[in-house]
This record gives sequence, structure tokens and C-alpha cells, in this order.
Amino acid sequence: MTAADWNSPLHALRGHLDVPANKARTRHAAIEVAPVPALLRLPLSLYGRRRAEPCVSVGQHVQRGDIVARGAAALDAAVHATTSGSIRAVAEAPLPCIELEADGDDAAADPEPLPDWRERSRPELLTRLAEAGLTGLGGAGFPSAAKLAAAAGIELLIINAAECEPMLTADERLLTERAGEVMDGISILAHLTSARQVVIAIEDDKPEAIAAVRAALEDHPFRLAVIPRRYPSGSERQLVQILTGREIRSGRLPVDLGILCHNAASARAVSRAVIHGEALTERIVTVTGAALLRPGNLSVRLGTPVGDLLTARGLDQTRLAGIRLGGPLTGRTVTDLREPVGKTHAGLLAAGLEELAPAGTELPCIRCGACAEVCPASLLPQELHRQARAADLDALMALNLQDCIECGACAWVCPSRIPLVEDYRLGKAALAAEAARQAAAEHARMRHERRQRRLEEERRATESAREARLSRVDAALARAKAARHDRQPGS
Amino acid sequence: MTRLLPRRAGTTGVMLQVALATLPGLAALVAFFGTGVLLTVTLAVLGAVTAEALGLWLRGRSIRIGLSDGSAIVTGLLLGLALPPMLPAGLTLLGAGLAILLGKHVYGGLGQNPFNPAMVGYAILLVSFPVEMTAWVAPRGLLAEDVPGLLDAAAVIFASASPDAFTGPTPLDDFKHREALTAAEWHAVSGLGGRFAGAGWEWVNLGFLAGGLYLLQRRLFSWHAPVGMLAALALCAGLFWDGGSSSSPGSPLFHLLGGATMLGAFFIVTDPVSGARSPRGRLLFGIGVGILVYVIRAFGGYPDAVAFAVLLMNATAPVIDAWTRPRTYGHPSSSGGQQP
Repeated sequence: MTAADWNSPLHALRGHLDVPANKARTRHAAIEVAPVPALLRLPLSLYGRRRAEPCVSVGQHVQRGDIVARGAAALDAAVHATTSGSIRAVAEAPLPCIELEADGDDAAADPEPLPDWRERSRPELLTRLAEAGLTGLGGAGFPSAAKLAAAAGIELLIINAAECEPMLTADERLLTERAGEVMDGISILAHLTSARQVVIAIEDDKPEAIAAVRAALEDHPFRLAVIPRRYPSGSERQLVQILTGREIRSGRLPVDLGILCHNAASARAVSRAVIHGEALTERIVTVTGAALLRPGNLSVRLGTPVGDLLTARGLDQTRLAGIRLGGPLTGRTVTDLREPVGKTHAGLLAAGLEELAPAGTELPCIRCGACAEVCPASLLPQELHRQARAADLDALMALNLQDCIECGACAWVCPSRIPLVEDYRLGKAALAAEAARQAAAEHARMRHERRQRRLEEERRATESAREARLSRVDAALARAKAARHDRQPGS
Repeated sequence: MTRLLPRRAGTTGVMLQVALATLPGLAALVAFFGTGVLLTVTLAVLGAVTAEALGLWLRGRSIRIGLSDGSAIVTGLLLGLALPPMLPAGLTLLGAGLAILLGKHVYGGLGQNPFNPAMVGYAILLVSFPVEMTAWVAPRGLLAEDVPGLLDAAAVIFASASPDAFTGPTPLDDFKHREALTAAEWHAVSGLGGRFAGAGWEWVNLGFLAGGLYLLQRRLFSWHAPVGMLAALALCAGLFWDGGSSSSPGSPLFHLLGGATMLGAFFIVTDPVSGARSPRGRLLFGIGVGILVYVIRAFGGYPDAVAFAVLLMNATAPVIDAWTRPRTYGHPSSSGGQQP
């Protein structure tokens, strides 16, 4: 142990999965640059089912790094052209995106580096991150600027380099080859959050990356935590638990405990955006699987269609059982080869027949409980499965479906091969739809009540005005009567 | 939709391993009670598989897929191991059929049954045919007549020949009705006492223990339910053990290695479908079975108690599940104090 090591004890997860790391294919493959495809699809989807609005017109020529779409919120991550070329269309299939036809020059917009970032104001740096299109590159894709805006003066900044998911080696190679850039990014993040302590967490099966980080740490006050290889240690809530022993309350964020987690690849993107002034136009993707002839770790332009990337690395159609974007456990199956690589995709798998189960092999749940043993959130996966299939929303709420992190450990161990996470995603969607329906109904009820109140007030106002008028008339009549009476003689 | 293949035995593989693990116990049964055991076990398996196919067909399910999980074979096997070796074929088939149809398919098939199907079949037979169900073959070497060979057994099982020449009470039964003998005197007189817990039965139980430990080592189930049951049974027997007076219900060892204890502990209470779900719940479930086994054996009217103890605890499993729900990550514990 050196002075730079994390000095507090590590904590156990509530449940975890012992799954083969399966990283040998690409672990030692140096990062290569993937070819720029002829046509790129720049996704318009933003975090939380929102969508960026295009700010270019069809036919317009753009350069690499030009903004082509923006979100409505101030700190939303912008969408950029990832090479030079002309805008072909705004398309809805295979997903909402801007189609960019590359011109082959790959000309970049002039960068605006901020080497003096320590002298720049916090708002200026946050705006720079949003303009450079930064989101978390590890999982959910939350806009980095918005995340950092809510995290000033925190206790602990965790740099997540656990990369616990099998088959993925993108972060491992990044740290091995470009630890310096990652450290620069961490310095900027530490500056932005005024974090009292910074720790970089890596799983212990990555000696090369650990050595590279250790060497780079000599110039930095950050600490290194080498954690045991345990899926899903790289999940934000689980990593906080491993390092601090604390749990993040349901529905809350790490920042509520004074903790911020940032992925290592995101940290590197921060350094490119601030120090070099470059927008986020590429990311490192592990392209692997038994059906791929030349697996590797590739620096891929965002928006590159999955099909182009696989073809470039030699796809063996005879062995192909399925394509997965993301990791083997948390990713999703892709059937349309036009789908682009996005900001959150650390892996692209062309799985062989020995790696994927064919459809329709699901057997009934025998309630063996293997799923509950591995669940890191201590949920009851088999109960959730039953209630999700029954679409019993109240039961799903009571079973805390919302606390499922979709790590896929339960589905992996299920002896009946039930695709549990798919059930949970459907259940969550049903809960969200129900909540939206209730909110809409509540909104309508409030509006109706307000209208009723307003009508009632108006009616009362007219009424009282009429009464006032009438009483004025009565008073006038009375006065007139009295006056006439006065004028009568002998009274 | 495709998904990643788990590198683990599927449900079918689990069932096959369970079936394999019964072999030491089955071998001991054959060694001490004759080859009739094999006939009865085979009949029970055949009856269960036929009933499974019938149940699947009646429910409009695919018979091929339904049979491929192997669960009906295991149900038939476990029932066959629990039945007296010379039970008439009709009763064995009836028990296996009821186990599958009334024990499983009426609830919606695999994974839906609240009660252990093999024990449902056993209990129905026991209360309906008490005479046949309590006529066990006397262990090898006890009677002048040797244990029945295949032909003798077949004559009893298929042709309703009288089994009286071969049968007698079990050690549990005999010990219970020993009439004023101390435990030591019974052991010396009856010949059913065996080396340490009951002639033949001690080895049968050790055989099932060995198979159970194999399954435990392969992590096919957790230790909670078996350990809970055995510990509770031993503890109860120990508490009431007075050194072996004429009214003693038997020593802990006598109960641990007697009757269907080990078959129950490793092959019945470990059934995931009809048991409790969380590890803590399984421990409670096992403890409940252990206590009930002792209570029924010591104070009840039946010679063995595993089937009724398991069925009673099956009925409480939903309550145990409700009690032992684990605290979800990020939620305060209901009892307080666990949230860091």
C-alpha cells in the first residue's frame, strides 16, 4: 500500500454475481481508430426521454465539432457533427436522428482550448461542457454539466473505472494508454466540485491499468482504490457502498450524501473538451464477440452505424447468433444494423451461437431463489417477475421495482432462462405511464376545480354587483319617496 | 429476442443432478430391503411421467417441453423412495398420479404448487391405505426368510400375493409401541435397533445424507432448510431425551438416522417451489419441519412424520415469506437501525 491508496476499508455488496470476466480477447488490444463511415446517424435523444431540436437545415455543410441540435434545458448536452459533410435528413428510423453524409475531408471546426481553466469561472466551464456535448459515458448518459452544477463543495469525488461488466475493456485500455488525460479531466472535475477527496476505483483484474494509474498519480493528490472483481461493482450505488459502506436512499442521488460519481471515460472527455476545446465526437468502444474476426478496442465516431463497425472488423455471419449494443449483461439486443453507436455505448458484441441462447427456451419459474441471492439491491426478482407478468402495478410498487438497477445478474443465474430484466423494463414503463396518467388526471381535476371556483366567484361578483345596484335603486326610491312625503303639506 | 446464455445448469440439469444424488440412498434401500424397491421406484416414476403428460395435455400445454424439465421424474422418484417397497402396483401408480395431478397441475403446473407434490401423493396414500402403507419389508437378516428377490417382490406388487412373509414394522413404529421396555432393552430385544439407530435405516439415511451433501457442495440449494430441520429435530429429541426410559420418544441419533429424516432434509424440504424463498425464511421453514417431525413422531399416531410436517410447513411458507422479506437497498429497515 502506498500513500496514494484508498485508506478506508472496503465494504461488501448485498448480493453479487460471479461471472467469468471473458475479457482476454481484447484486454491487450491497443486502441485503434475506426474508419469514418460514409453515412452517420447522430441520435437526437437526450436523457429522460427528451429530444434535442435540430439547428441545421437539410443540405447544410457542417464540420466536425459543429453543433447540429440542442436540448431545451440550459445545461443539456449539445449534439455535434462527428465528421465534416452535409446534412442529408432528419430521420425517425431506426431512431430519431440527423443523417450526416461524410465528405471524406473530416475537417474540424476550430477548437477553443481553455488551458487556463483554473482561472475560468464555474458557469463558464459548465457551459463549455454542455456545449461540447458531454454526458456520462458509462451508463445512463446524464448530462455532465447538469450533474456538476448540482455538486459544489462535495465530500468525495469517485472516478468509476471499475468496468465490472464482462467482455468490456474500453476503460481498461483508456487508463492503460491515456492515464494522463484522464488525470487532467479528474483535476478539472475536482476543481469544479471542490471535492475534499478524490478516489479512482478499479477492479483488481486490470494490473496494467492499475500500474498506469499509479504512475500517473505521482503528480496528483488523488487516491486509488483497487476493489475486488464483483459484478456489479461499477454500478454507481453499489460503488458508493463498496467504498464508503453507505447506501443512497431510494429515489435520491449520491450527491445527497456529498458524493459524486463520474466515469473514467467521461473524465477524459472533460479534459478534451476543456483543455483542448474539442467537442465529444468519438468514444472508445470494445468491439468483440465470437462472431467477430478482429475484435478490438476502437476509437469510434459517434453515429457510426453498427453494421459499418462490424463489417470493418470482419463479421462472421455463419457464427452470428445476435448483436448487442452495450455490455453482455446491461446492453440491449440490436436487430437493425443501421443503429448508430451512441455516447453511452462502451461495447458492441457480435455474439456467437455459444454466447447467446436462442429465443423461446424459457421455462416456468421454479422459485429457486438464485436470483434473490445475487440481487445487489436485495429485491425479490421472482416476485417482481410474477407481478410484472400479471401487470399488478400496486404490487410492483410495494416490491420496490423502482430500485432495480437492471444489472441483469438475476437473469444470468436463472436456471429457467427467464429474461427477467425485460419484464422489469416493461413493468417500469407501465409504472411510469400510470404515474403520467395520474398526473394528467390530477392536472385536469385541478384545472376543473379552478374553473369552477372562478365561475363561482364571477357569479358571486355579478350577484353582489346586482344587489348593490338594486340596493342603490331602493335607496334612491326611498329618498324620492321621503322627499315627496316631505313636500306634502300637513305631515 | 435472444439473450445471453448463462453458464449454468438449467432447470433440466438441476433435476437430473437431484435424481443422481438419490443413488446412494437408493442403493442402501435395495441392499437392505431387496429389489422390490427398484420395482416400486420405477412404477412411481412411470406413473408420475404419465400423469404429467396427461396434465399437460388437459391444460393444453406442450407435452414435449413440459416433460423435458425432468421435474415429474424427480417427483415420482422421491415418492417411490418414500413408499413401502412391496406396495401393490395400483397404489403406487395412484399415489404418483395424484401427486402430479392434485399436487401440481390443479395449481397451474411447475412452479405454481403450494405443496410438495410427492408428499401430497404420500399423504393421500397413507391416510387412505394405512395397512398397506405401514407394511415395510423387514431388513435383511432379521427374519428367517431372506429379503424378497425380484420374483417374490413382483408377485406381491403385481399379483397381490400376500407380503406377510416379508414385512414387519419399521424401527420408528416398533420403538414407539415397545410396551414398557427401556430404549436399551428394546435395542437388545427387537433386532430392529441396528448398529446405532435402526437396522438398515441408519444406512439408508447415511446414503441420503451423502447425496444431499453432494447437492449442497454443487450449490443446488442453500444449507438453510436442511440444517434448520436437522438441528431442530436433534434439539427437540435432545430436550426430551431422558437417557432412554420406557416412555422415552427416542434419542437424537435415533431420530436423525431414522425413518425419512435425511430424505426429507435434503430432497423434500429443499424443494424451492413449495418452500420459503429468502435464506432466513428457509431456515425458519426447516426449523418448523424439524419441530413438527419430532412432535408427530413422539406424540402423534403415525409411524413417520416427514410428509405431514412438510405439508403443514408448506402451508405456512407464504407467511414466512412475508415475515422475512429482505430490506431493499436504499430503504430504511422496518425494525430500524440497519440503515448506515
